[in-house]
Amino acid sequence: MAIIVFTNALTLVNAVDLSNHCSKVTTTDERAEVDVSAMGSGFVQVTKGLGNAQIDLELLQDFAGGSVHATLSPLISSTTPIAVEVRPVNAARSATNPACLLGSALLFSYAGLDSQVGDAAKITATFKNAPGGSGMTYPTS
Amino acid sequence: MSEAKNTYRVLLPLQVDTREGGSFKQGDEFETAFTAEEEAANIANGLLEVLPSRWKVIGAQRVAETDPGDEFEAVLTLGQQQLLIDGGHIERVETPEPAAKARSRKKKEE
Repeated sequence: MAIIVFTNALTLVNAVDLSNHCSKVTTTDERAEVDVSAMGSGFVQVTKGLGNAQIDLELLQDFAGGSVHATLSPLISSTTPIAVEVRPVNAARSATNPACLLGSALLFSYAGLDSQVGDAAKITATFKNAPGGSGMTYPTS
Repeated sequence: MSEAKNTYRVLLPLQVDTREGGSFKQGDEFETAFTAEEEAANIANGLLEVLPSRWKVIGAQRVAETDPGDEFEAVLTLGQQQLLIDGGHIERVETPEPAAKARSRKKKEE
């Protein structure tokens, strides 16, 4: 398996391909640490609690119709779950190009403007697992 | 601007009555104006399935791995459709009624 340099990742938000505006993706798939230590434990005993699945995107803002703002702004007030998917390479899913998929996600944070003078207008968006969602999955097909 | 709507197939051996006055049995297909919540409930309990619809990408970004200007067929829930329509990404491609149906109606009229 080759090391990859991230140059052409795929970013899909509700099936809309925002790859050509996306500069950074971060996927998070974690479990809460629950302390179950009891008398007699020689060490802190930790087990897994609830999971947290989230995808953070950094995007170049674009207010053109059908672009970044038009895609994300309706989602912040919506409770309709949508799919958010990123892939290492903008190509079909495969064993070496698995998707990181939040099949049922809600947008919880949308920083529509977050730049200072002279900067490219980059924004961030945070998607988390929606009620009934199954967290992060990694389909290869 | 097109509105969010879907065509459904009845999956369970139950009769489905729509607001528009239609009655449909298992295997029947129909179009009706559910709310997103009604649709989600009917799909979750296994009563209905959404049939694929045809869409045209009208925005600047690719949608469902389809280039702007091209068409694709997909099952989209009402909520997903509305978000994509409101965002200026897609519009519904209205498919003409099949010729066979039109012929059978004509026969009846005769």
